[in-house]
Amino acid sequence: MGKTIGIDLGTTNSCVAFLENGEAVVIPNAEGGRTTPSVVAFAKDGERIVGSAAKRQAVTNSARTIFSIKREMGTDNRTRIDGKNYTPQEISAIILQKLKTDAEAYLGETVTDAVITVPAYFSDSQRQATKDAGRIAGLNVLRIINEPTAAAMAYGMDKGGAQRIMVYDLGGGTFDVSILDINNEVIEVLATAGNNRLGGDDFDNCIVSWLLDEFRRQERIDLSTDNAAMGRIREAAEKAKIELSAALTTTVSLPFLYSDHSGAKHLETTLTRAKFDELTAHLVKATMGPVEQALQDAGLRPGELNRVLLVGGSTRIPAVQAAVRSITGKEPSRDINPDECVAMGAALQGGVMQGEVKGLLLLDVTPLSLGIETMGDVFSRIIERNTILPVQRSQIFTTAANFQTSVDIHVLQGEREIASCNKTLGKFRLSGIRRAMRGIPQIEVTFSIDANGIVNVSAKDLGTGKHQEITLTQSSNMSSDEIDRAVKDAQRYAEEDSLRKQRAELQNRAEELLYQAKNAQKKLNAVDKERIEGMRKRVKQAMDAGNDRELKRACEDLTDALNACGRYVDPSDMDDRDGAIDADIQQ
Amino acid sequence: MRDPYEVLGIAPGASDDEIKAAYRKLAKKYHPDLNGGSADAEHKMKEVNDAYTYLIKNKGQGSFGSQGGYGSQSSYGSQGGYGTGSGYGGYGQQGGYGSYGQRGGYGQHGGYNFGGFDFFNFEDLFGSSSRSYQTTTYYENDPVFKNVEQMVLAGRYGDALNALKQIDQRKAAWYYWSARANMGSGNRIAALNDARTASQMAPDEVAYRELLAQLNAGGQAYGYRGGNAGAMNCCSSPLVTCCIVNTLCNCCCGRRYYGCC
Repeated sequence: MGKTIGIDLGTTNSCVAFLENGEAVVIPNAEGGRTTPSVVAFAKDGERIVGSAAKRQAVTNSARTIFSIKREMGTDNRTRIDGKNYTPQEISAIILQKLKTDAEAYLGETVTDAVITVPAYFSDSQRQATKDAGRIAGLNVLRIINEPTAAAMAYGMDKGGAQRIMVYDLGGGTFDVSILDINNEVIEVLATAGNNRLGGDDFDNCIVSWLLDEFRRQERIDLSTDNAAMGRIREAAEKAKIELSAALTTTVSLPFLYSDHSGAKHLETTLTRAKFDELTAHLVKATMGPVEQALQDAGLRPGELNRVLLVGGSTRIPAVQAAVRSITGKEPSRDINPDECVAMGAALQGGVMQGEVKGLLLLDVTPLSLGIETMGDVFSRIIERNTILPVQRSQIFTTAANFQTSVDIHVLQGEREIASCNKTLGKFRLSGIRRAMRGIPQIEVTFSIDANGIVNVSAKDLGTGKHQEITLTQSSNMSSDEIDRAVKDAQRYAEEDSLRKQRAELQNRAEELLYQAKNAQKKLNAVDKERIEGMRKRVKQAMDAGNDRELKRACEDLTDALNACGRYVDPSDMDDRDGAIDADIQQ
Repeated sequence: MRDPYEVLGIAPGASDDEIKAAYRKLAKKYHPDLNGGSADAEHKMKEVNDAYTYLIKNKGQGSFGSQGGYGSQSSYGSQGGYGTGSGYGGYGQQGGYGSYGQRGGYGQHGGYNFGGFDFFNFEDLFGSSSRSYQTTTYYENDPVFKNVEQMVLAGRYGDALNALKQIDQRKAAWYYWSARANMGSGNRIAALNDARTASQMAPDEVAYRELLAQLNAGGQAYGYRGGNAGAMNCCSSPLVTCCIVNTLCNCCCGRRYYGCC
């Protein structure tokens, strides 16, 4: 069995951790970063670029760069690139694949299992979509856990004694608040609330529209349709936001943002923290509702909280911290890293499930109420939100019309009283009910959720014993076939990627050899010189023609020839003794 | 169905801290995560979770219905299964299932006659819930509703519905009483619709909101009842009696029902 990793698949940044001697440790990516931007780009030649490289090229390739795909999870949105429609799951899988590959490279062994985190307020279909993404990326997803809970796990590991904590998690695209009770290494989620579409990106957007207004005011030009300019503005907005967490003012300077017949236009302006707070006040305020709701659901007063944890990069915004301070009356704790603790908690949960971590137990809850539709578009709750998993609940329903012989069980999730305002999880029909006046048949509907959060719904006619059930394991918008196909695609792309990598390595080696040969020629006798020259030409030709097999052979021959005259230097030695070799060649 | 105290292995009337400590201990023992995902452990954990939810999470929630309140403590019964058909049958004679939940609604009339048996003060049954609002506010100065109320209270739901049909002007009160009558005749869906309309027309009227909340929790409340009936092996007498004894039990013991039966 391979290693188990914990993945925080974020809206803007993702992070991976694993367990080392029972401690969660963050795995740096191939570029050395401890978090990886959740950005996927398709280069012109179809190559997939993920992470910081993708983020860097976004300005020049905005149409083929995908940001914040997490916001689309669980929806039917498709991203069309080169004639292929990508589901959000597939795009997320590309990110997960990169995280997996980097983790494997770091750990030096294969990674098979993962615990992936999602916002606590993700609906069942969003969770399933995340699970599918993991599967497409070739990961066995042990568990989907909630981000605030994961943060609390990372925090609560070595904190003895009973305490009640609030986790305020404002990420790139989602907002969650959870109230947990940690006691004797059992972490119980008392309540969760949140907003799936509120996060740092929205703060950026406020700055973006302000900058657009500024530019419109100064130059009377609307840039909102100019993709390249928008890319730069967005980048500058994020940078300004980050700077304002530490400084009171920041300067946004975007030279040559636009040019027309009258010349180049620049955007240069100063943004103060006060102005930023004014622009984003409504967003900060929008996070307070869920905080109050979570407290109410947990049956606690703010004074009864022992600690408040801030998670997610956006909690660095001073106005957010101030708002949390004022509503809870507590100074938020700063002893966890808001960017990394979620992945670390996920790794810990992986350890618990594999038996590596002893004693720790997470008691999770269902974030949204579950129920069925009854007559008149009414949502009848069967499992209330914040119920501890695993759970099983039954309720009895009856027919609405005389002599009705079948009922449609429409399984829903959400908090609205009106069924059609909630999210459909699945539908099935129970038929063969004995003919009777309305209100007479008794149909027992049972909801069961296991510890993995998988929902099973069954309906039983108590009169005839007829029984029908549905297990909701698939996200509604991707069939099993589609996922299998995506898994194969992803594997194919992984092979292509490794092929591409091999090719790049070969090209690099050829260039290196050509350079060595050129230098060596200066010091060789005419015969050797001639021979090497011939081989150099061969390598060059193969390179230009893009003939990999020939290039490989030519490179080998050239290496041998250089070796024969004692002029070959292994490039891997070169890294260590760079200066020495240069000197040697210069002689 | 088992006594939730027994499930948690504690004495009836244990303090919250004792309950929580016992729960944590059992969770560590039975949670599927710590048992390699075993189905037995999961089943056991569901039972432990239910007992814990019953004793801790739903306790003391005065607003019956809206938060689950007493109604969803009932869900504890779901583990015990539906119980015997006879328990249900007996209940059915009292006007269709689903209507048990409403009895909470009748609580405000304290001691009104239900199924030939005098209820005690409902404060007993609902423990902490102290309802102080009056029932006399939803007539909208129309004596017709007074008559309808009499009929509903007397259990003449059909008559009440007929009387309501005669009224053309349908104000919030009309929907309220229609909901009550429908509820009584076991027509939960129609009741729910009417209660909803009433609540929409007069959103400030507490009674309308409460009725709606009760109806929303009605099925769950039934589950409670059904579960009890199933568990009551002692009641082998005729169906109706069984039901009454059961209800009596319920009333006497209030929230500590499990302990004494």
